[in-house]
Amino acid sequence: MSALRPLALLLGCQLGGELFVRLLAVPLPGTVVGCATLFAFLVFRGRIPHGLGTIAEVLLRYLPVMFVPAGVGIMTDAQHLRDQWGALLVTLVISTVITVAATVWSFSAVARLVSQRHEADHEAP
Amino acid sequence: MKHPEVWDALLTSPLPWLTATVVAFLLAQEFHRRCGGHPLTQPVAVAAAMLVALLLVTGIPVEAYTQGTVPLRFLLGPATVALAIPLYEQRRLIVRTCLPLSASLLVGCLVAVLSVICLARLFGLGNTMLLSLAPKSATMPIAMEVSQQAGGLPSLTMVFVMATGVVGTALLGPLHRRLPDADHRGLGFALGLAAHGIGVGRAFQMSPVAGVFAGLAMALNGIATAMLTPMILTL
Repeated sequence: MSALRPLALLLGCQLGGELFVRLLAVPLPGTVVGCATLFAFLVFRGRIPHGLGTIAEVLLRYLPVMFVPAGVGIMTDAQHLRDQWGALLVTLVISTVITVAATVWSFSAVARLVSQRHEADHEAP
Repeated sequence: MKHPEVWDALLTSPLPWLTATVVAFLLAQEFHRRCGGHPLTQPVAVAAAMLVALLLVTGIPVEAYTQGTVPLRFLLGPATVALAIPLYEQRRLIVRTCLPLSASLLVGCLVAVLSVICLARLFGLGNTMLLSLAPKSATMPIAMEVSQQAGGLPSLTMVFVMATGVVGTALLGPLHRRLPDADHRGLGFALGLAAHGIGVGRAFQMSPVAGVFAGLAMALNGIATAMLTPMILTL
C-alpha cells in the first residue's frame, strides 16, 4: 500500500512535466521538468518520503534493461551508420577528449580560486 | 505451424517480447561477467544483438517487437524523474562546491554539445546524424528524448551515447597518469559529465569521492544538456 504513494508521486511529476512542456511548447523533455519538479518537492518537504528511495533505486538499477528495445531499433536505422562510421568515431573521440579536458580544467581552476579566496579571508586580521 | 490463431494472439501481445528482452538481458549480463566486465561486451548491446538475431531467424518484423516492448520503454520516464532522488541526497555537497560545480557544468556541457556539432559539420555528416549526436554526453533516457525532440533518431543517439561512454572511460587511465595529483572531485565530475552512467561506474573504481561527483555530474549534465541543446541548435 505504501509503495503506491511514491509511485503516484513519480508518475504525477512526470505527467505534470509532460503537460507543462506540451501546453507551453517548451523545447524540453517532460521527464526533465518532472525531475526538477520532484527535486523542488523534496527540498520543500525536507526529507525523502518513505518508500520513494526504494522505487527510485530499483528503477535506476535496471535502467539498462529499458534501453534494450532502442538497441534493437538500431537494426532499422543501421544503414545511416554503415557508410559514415569512420567519421563518426573520430568525431566522438575528439569531442569526448575535449569535453573531459575542459571539465577537469574548469573544475580545478575554480576550486583553486575559491580555496585561495577562502584562505585570504581567513588570513585577514 | 499449428494453431496460427494462438500464435497471432501471443505475438501481438507484449508478453513474449518482454519475456525475451528480460531473458536476453540476463544472458548478456552473465556473458559480460564471464568476459571479466570487458567494456565492449556491454549487456545492453549483447542483449539487443541476441534479440535482433531472434527476429531475423524467425522472420518476425521488428515492428512487432517495438510494439510489444512499449511498457518497458515507458519505464524510462519514471526512471528519469527518479534521478531527482540521488541529486537531493547530495544537496549539501552541491551547496558546498557550488562554484566549481556550476562553472565546470556550464563549460563541460557547452563544450560537449558544441564540439560534436562543429566536428559533425566539418566531416559533412548529415543533419539527422548531427541532431542524433548533439546530446551524446547526457544520460541515455534524457539524450534519447532530446534527440527525438530535435528531430534526430533516438536509436542512433543510443549508439553514440554508448560509444561516448566507452571512449570516456578509456580516457581516464592516460588522464590520471598525466595529472597524478589531480583533484578526484574534478576527475570524477568530468567523467560523469562526458561519459554518463558508464563513467560513473569507472569513477567509483577510482575512489568513492570521484564516484559521488561523477553521479552528480551525470544527473546535472542530463538536465543542462536538455536545456542547452535546443538553444544551441537554433543558433
